[in-house]
Amino acid sequence: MRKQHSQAAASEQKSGKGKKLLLPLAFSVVALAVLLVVMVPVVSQLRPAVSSSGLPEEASIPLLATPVPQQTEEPQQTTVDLEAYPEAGDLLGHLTVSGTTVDCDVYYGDSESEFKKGAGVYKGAHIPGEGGTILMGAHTNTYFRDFESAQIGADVTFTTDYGEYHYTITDMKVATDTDTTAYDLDADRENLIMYTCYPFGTLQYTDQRYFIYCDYVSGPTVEPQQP
Amino acid sequence: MKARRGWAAPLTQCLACVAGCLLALLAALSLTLFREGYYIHKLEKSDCLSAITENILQAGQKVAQTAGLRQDILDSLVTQEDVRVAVLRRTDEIWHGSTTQPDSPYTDVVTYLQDTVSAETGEMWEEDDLNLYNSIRAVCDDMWRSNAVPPLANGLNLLMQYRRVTTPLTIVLVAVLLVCLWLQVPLCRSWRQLAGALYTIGGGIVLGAVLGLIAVQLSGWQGWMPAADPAYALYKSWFGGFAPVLAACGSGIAGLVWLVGLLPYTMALRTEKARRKKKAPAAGNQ
Repeated sequence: MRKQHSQAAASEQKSGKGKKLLLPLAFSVVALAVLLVVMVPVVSQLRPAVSSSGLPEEASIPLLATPVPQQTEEPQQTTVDLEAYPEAGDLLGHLTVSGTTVDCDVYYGDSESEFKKGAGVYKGAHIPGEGGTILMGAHTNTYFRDFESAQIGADVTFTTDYGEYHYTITDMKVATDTDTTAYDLDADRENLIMYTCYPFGTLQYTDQRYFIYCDYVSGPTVEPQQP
Repeated sequence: MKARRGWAAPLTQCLACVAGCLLALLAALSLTLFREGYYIHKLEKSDCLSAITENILQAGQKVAQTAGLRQDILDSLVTQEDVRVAVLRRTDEIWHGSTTQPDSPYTDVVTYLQDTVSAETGEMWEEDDLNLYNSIRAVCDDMWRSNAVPPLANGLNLLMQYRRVTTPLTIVLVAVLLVCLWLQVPLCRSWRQLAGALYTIGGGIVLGAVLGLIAVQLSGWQGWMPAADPAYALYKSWFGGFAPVLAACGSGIAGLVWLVGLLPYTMALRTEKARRKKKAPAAGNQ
């Protein structure tokens, strides 16, 4: 009888030890799953954001403000053939704005999936080299956070795989998101309009947008143009 | 460990583990990636400030060369300390949204060039020279603002949007954890069961945090930035500090839970000792 009792106690102790190990392990797996659910969306945004540190190997010098203008050659207007017109989500190029930390990839399309990775170009407008308005947006809490440092006259460099485009900032203003007079998509001259939510860095919904207007300086024209 | 209401005890323990692990995550983020001091410490320990200074000096030399001046004429205007101050100010701007523009060391470049060139050539400056010097100032100011910036600015800006929700989330998670810990009291039958429940919760938190560390290390974060990037070493040391701190924070929170668990454990030992004492005389009488 005493033997049976001690055997039962031993087996209970064993199962208790098993529970003591198994339960924390099971809970930790659940906790890990929750951690992953929380972290995966952040990581998917962080990954493209840290793909470049923004620290160049060589310092960039603004093209427009080259001290002796008469010594610089007039940029030659060349024409390049596009193999194919970009499709939504395609990487279009890379953007930097002198005097700011704006330094990001630019994608064709302006949905959330493009804005997660960088700046996005509105599909209803044009791409660099087409001779029209390029309307580009990005989130104010990430890639266009430093719009507040942008100044009139700053050089905007848009590097695509078919050519390097330079624009100069000519104007900046705040407008509402429904104000269609803030941009002219039918302009017959090449120009770049960049916009982001305002106030800068806001996380909440805002109907205000900060627009930066840029005039074309140099870069090849493209063919074929938008279908 | 038997619970009074079958599923309630394991469920609250599991919830406590999840809350504890999320708290460890928030604590680790607050101590590393969300903390300005941590970034600045890593930045100052890296070669980035020297690289930025070097870039600016080279750019200044190119500007001077293009303007037809002595190549190193602008070098004396920029020191590593100027760069450090400017980069730290821009870093502060990312964290606190201050709009103070860093002072450019090229503010007095026109006067400096007038004096230096006149002294070197023995000729007084003229109207064209003044225009050239003003143009150099504009270029250098713009070049300075472009280059004297903290590396990883995009990543930092992205993280800052999550930093803002840290405080309310922490309050909610601490509340959930405390409620779940408190619920173990009515759900457990004895002191020993209560001690066991707290031991289980602590174990779950520490294991969850360690699994989190392993998950971060296996995520391949080392490859998110090309190794050729000039700030790769900074990125590795900055982001690399996060996972170990996550495990440490998990261990810390688990340690606190275990510390709380010492109380019911001590009570269990006392109760069992008292019971044994009661039983001992009875056995002696038989």
